[in-house]
Amino acid sequence: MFFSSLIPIIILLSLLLTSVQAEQLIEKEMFTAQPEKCVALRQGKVCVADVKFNWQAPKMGDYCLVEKVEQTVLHCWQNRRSGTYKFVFSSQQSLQFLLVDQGTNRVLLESKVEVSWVYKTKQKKRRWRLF
Amino acid sequence: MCIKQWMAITLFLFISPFLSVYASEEVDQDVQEEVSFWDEFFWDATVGAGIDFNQEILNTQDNNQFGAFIDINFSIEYKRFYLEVQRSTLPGGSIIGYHLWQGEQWQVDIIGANYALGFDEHGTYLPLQGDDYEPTLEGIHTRKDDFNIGLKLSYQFNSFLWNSEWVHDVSSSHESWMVRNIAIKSFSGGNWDLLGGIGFDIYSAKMANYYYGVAEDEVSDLRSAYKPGLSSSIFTQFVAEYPISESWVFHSAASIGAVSKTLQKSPIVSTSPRVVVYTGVRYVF
Repeated sequence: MFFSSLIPIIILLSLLLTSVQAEQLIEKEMFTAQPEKCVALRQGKVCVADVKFNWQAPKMGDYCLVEKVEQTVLHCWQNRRSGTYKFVFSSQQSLQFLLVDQGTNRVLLESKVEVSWVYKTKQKKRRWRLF
Repeated sequence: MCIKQWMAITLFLFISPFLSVYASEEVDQDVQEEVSFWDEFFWDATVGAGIDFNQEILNTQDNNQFGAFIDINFSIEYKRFYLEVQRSTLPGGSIIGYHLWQGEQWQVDIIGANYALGFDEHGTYLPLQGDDYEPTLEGIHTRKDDFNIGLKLSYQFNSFLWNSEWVHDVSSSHESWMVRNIAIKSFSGGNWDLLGGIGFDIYSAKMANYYYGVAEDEVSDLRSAYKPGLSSSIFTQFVAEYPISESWVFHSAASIGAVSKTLQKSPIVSTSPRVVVYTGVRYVF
């Protein structure tokens, strides 16, 4: 009788524990790029920025930082759960970056560096006019 | 702008598309997609402020000034047309252009632009006037801003560009021709836009006489009659621009120039070099 009355409490506690663990798990997964935005003067001009990636995975493992379109591997870490990487971003357009689990080849997290520009006019070189 | 200038611009806008029909057809054959007006129309408007130093070539009492400036710029592009308007306390001006022909490295544009700024007895810029102020150029006629129409030939090779502009005034100022040649190099440095250039101008005798000559009815105890005739100038310029955010840019420029002996000998021209330096920020709408 005593044990049977405990069962709902145990179930409730275990559910609570599971949700707390899941929350911790979600908190532990993190992949950011700073700054998130690179501003160039005009569209088509290469935008340059020092981007710092920060990542945190739910478990220890081998992970790689990969640029999505060209599938260029920027850096890999062995038997790590977190890492940082500094990268000189240089692109005419926004790029997405992936944190890939090397073991499963699964994309764990995604991050993006957006390229925007100040002037809307194209003003090609033929229009160079200094004064 | 006077009626004559507006007529010239209207004529410019009217004839330029016909001059490049052949080139347009070539492009149109390749581009079958429907393009809306807004896909080809671009505009920018900026308001800027900063500090500047000006040393003009006119022989005025206060021919160099250090101060603050504001400028308003507006530019539009539609297909092959472009227009840039600058209203500022800085030298510069407006340019309207039509891209006529483009080869791999050569390009030809029809352009309409202001090249020479007018002035009166106070000089190009309004000087700081005190109680004892007397304009050095007192008694001279007012010279008007010009507005020229002509051809611009460009040759580009990697980060080098050479421009040759052959223009004729269509306003009621000097009503003559001038030629500007400039070689420009662009430098890459992160998100900086850096341009450096060196060039020279050739002014027709009529133009040089209009701006820097002294007519018989301008002769005074301080100046005798003078006609410089065919003249020239050389200059070097540098411009730097950097995006601070999506709406703000840092802007800085410098220009140093010297005029030919024919102009230096003019009683209304100073022998000191023409210098313009400014730095500031611009808000981009």
